[in-house]
Amino acid sequence: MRCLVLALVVVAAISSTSHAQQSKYYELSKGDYPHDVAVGPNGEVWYAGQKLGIAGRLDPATGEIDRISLGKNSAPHGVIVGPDGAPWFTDGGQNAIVRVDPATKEVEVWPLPPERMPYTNLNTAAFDGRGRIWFTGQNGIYGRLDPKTGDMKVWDAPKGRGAYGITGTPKGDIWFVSLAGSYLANVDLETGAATIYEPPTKDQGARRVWSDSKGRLWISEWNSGNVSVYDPAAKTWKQWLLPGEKPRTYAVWVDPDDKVWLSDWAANAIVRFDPAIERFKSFPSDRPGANVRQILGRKGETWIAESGTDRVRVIRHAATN
Amino acid sequence: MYLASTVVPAVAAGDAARGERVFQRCFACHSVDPNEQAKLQGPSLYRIMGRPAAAVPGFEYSDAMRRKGAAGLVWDRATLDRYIADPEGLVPGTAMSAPPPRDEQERADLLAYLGRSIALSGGRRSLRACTCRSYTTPAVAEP
Repeated sequence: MRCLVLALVVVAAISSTSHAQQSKYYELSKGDYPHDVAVGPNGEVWYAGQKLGIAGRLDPATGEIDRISLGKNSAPHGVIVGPDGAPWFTDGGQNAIVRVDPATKEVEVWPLPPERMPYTNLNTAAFDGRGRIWFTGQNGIYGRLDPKTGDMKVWDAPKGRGAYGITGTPKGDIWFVSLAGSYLANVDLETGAATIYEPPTKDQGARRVWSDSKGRLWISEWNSGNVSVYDPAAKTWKQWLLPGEKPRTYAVWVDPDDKVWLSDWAANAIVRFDPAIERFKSFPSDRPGANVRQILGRKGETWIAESGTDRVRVIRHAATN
Repeated sequence: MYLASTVVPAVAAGDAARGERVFQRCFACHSVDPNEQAKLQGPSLYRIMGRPAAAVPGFEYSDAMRRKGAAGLVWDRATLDRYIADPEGLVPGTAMSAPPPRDEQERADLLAYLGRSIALSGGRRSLRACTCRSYTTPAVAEP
């Protein structure tokens, strides 16, 4: 299945400050259910259409959307853009890592070894500094694929189920978090061994993680409503509670200017945290139930997957505001 | 009475052994072990059949699920089948995000497995994750 549709675009200025941000919403086809989102090298935006098993490709300039079937039983949870400029999907339905060639739309599939676990609930992926893609499976695994050779390794996650967000640092190290296990882990890139780092808040529900430019790990804590940060060099933790009543911190992404972008389900809002001044700024959705599960972007653009409204949102902002 | 459940589609007969494998789709967020200690994102499915929606003490349900529970939704084979097939369709605003099993037989097998947890419970045995996995044992979802 492949079809082209045009997204309905709604634009809104969302700040009255001197450094106004502009929010734009792209209406996808009903049921597309964009779980995760990622930006390609030419500004094209990919999303994981989890319920329909599609890769969505949005051209922000024209609003044109290309919907590419990823295969029978596909249900992609995550999408990232690799160093090759292509989108890579963690496809729970196919229990496989999936790549789409951005030029030819060819779909390549690397299934996980079924004898280990036929359904690992694949979650998220990140590339290390050596061109290998690391992934998590929420049923309690993490793994590594070398796309050049096809070599794939899968390991049991500490404490069993819950392995969720994963990120690569500027040095190429790999870290992941466990939602049910409430920990941050660093993997040995060769042996795969995982070393656990426990955030200070017990049972905090570490859901997603992202590295800033200095290799510090920013974590969205679902159960506690915190954003926390671990500095591997200083071996220190800090955490902040998001504003509002009973915040639920789901997604985290750190932009190239080291501002931390988060989604808060309780407030139905995107929240930006500036570590330099330790202040939050809220960007509520214009519709209820946005259910933002992932944020990713590039300099000056924060892309947001609204799984609950079948929309992709972008907040364009100056680097210093 | 919960009116939506008066239109009851037929649910195919299921196989609990196969359903144990299907339960892997639910395993990250749910448990059928009455002694489960992990803090999971979905409520326990132990003795789910016949239980009113949003009824597990201490679990933080979504507002949408709480409203359905207050309106009288009870989990049985028919309502669970509808929910698993289309969570948003039955409970708009639900926090459950798992992609639904599209195969009717898979859902029937899963329901058979969930139903079996009643018969095998009572302190004599607790059902854990799929026995086909080799992991040590053991996150948004609900019924």
